[in-house]
Amino acid sequence: MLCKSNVTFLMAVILLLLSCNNKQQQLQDQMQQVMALQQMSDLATAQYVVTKIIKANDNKTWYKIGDRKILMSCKATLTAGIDLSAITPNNVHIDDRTIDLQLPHAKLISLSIKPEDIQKEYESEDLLRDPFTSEERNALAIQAETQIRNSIDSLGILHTGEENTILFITNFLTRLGYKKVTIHFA
Amino acid sequence: MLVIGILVVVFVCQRIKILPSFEDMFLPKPVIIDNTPILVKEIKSLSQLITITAYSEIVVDSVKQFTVPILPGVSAPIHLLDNELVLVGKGKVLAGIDLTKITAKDIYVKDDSVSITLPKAEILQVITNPSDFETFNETGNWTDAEVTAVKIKLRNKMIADAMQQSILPKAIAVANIMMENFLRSAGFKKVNVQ
Repeated sequence: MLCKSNVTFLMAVILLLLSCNNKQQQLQDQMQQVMALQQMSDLATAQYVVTKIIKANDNKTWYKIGDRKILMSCKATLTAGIDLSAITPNNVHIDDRTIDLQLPHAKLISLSIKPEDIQKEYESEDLLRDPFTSEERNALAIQAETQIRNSIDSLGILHTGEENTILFITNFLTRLGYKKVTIHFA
Repeated sequence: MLVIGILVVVFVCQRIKILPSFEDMFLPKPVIIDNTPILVKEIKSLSQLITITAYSEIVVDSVKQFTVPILPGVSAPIHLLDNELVLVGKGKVLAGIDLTKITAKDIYVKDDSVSITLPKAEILQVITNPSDFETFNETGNWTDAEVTAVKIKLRNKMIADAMQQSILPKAIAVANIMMENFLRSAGFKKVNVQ
């Protein structure tokens, strides 16, 4: 009896080991969701597409034996423009066919890093280390997102946003019949 | 006596922060990415009026079933060994109108009257950044491609839900009001936006 149960157990273990190589994976997804709508009034006028290499080496913890390294690439889309709701009648001076418009400074409207735009290029880990989990990879991508967000001043997107805003509003008001359009930011 | 003396010295050193505490000593060091350069690949000029943002929070529970082949073509699931990934994703769906689609025939101006026909509202951006995702539970190995597929599914669900919430009719309604206010500020007395 004891021998029979041992054989059954052994067969179950062999089956499990065999199935590790050719298991069929099936994805089952369940979703739950919460939503809120908010009114906005942004005029988006400039979009930058930037790329960044995410490079990390996990070798700083003294009791973990061996290193693990990862290289990922990511692409981000930054959009800048102005908030049109800040324009009030006080910001507009009209004299016949001449208009003087004071607009708010450009701001970053959005930073978008699509999931498919983050790609693992290389990963290596020593014998005693585990590969990076999806949570750890995401944590590295969050750091890259923060670095990109902190670099918007040096990228010059806000300046481009203001230049494009001047161009767009001048053209638009000219089509509405104004002969001279002056725009400044405050 | 010597051991007690050493322990007291270590304790005092830890209290005055000369030595790290035992708890800190065994904390894993965070993995910090290098400060690599950011390269600008493309610069585009836009003219999009963003009028509605839909904020969404979705929980996705994805399971890779672990199955054992019993006979050729027949396999049995072992749920105890399933791989599970539970993500909490927040995101934004931005809707509005593309003002570059306004042509000369869409604008009619006479004296202090203006009539303008706006283009149809559309989904302009869907934002699901890495910081918008939280991994609530992860068991087993999940490849980059599998996680990305789950995130894309979540994003598509956000768009579908935003559409169900009538985001586009609301976006065009707000765009009409905004354009009307802008044209009145620009000095027009009679304004017709449609």
